[in-house]
Amino acid sequence: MSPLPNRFFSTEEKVEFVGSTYCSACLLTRRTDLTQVNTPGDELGADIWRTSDIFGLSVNLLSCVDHKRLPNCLPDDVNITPIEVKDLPFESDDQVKSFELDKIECKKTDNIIIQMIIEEIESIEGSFPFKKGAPDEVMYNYKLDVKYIPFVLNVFHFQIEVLSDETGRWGPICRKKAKKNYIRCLASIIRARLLDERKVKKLII
Amino acid sequence: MKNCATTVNHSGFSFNFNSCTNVIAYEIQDETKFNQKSLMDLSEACYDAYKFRLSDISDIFSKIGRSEYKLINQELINLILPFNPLKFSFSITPDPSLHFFTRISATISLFVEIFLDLDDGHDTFIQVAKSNHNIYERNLSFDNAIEDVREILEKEFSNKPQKNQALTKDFDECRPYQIDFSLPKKR
Repeated sequence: MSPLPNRFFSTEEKVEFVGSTYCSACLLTRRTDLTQVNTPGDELGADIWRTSDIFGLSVNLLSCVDHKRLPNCLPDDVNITPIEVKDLPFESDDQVKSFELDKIECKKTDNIIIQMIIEEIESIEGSFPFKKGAPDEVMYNYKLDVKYIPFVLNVFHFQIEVLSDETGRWGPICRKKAKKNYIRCLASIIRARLLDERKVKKLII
Repeated sequence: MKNCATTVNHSGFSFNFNSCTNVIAYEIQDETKFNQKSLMDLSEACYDAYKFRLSDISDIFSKIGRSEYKLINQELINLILPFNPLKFSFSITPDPSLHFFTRISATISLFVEIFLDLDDGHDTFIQVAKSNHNIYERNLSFDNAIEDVREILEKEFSNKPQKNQALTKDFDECRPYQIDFSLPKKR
């Protein structure tokens, strides 16, 4: 174990910088439990995203090559996790004072990391059925949205939300609803697109 | 018995000439390396690579998953084989669900997902996509969808030349050149 590097800690200044610096061509990275990204058939394995993962997927930002690099951000930072501490969404510098930052330790793993490009993820949108086959079947729309949600111990944290208009206005689909049949169907639609359009790749470090 | 057929190699291509019917045909080579056995072997290799996702959950899911895989695998391979698929892939998620994915051509893909549910029954999702747009999407059993999918694929590939068909047809329409082998007439 070693101390969590300073570059992970959020401050108002760093959050402002990251939030105003990233662009649609930047990469998002995610630590996986995969043993392989591609199947023996040389296509993406469907286990890159479990059904529940699809709704509210946590990822880290990695700036694109054409872009100014984020301060001290490294490609395999997503494999570093703080231990024995509850992280919280960042709100202000005052909030950070309640964390004993110099005592926070971390572990680094050697997991396979996957990468995706923000604009490719945000290009996934379409419609999905509710009460399919019933006389009162309705079609709702969905789209993927990449949001910057910094945490106190991870200034690079982003989240991929699935938004739907089922309530009459665009809003995120809660992960707990993934067990409902029509939401599971939506997850299948999204996963099929990820596989078909090869929107996820293994990060080569 | 007279053997009418000869094969002529020209410019790297193989032409079949039938001297009885005066028809020359160019045999279109298969566009894929897959056959029934190689697809079955590849599918099994994929299953072996991902079966731990089921055994990690329980022995029951292992058995049920294997049984569902076998039920669909053979049918799916029989369905896609005539269309010369470019890629075939199978994987399992920890949800648990089984995923077949095949690229029939550069633009057309078929995706079959079976969510294993011991309480409410398995849920199957089938999708055919063309150039990143869904042209077929159903939540019903593979058995019930298979004829729909076959129809869609046949329609999509209806303009594709069949073996020996296109050129043979053209050559059939040509009137064979009659060679007069009789001795030249003396003046």
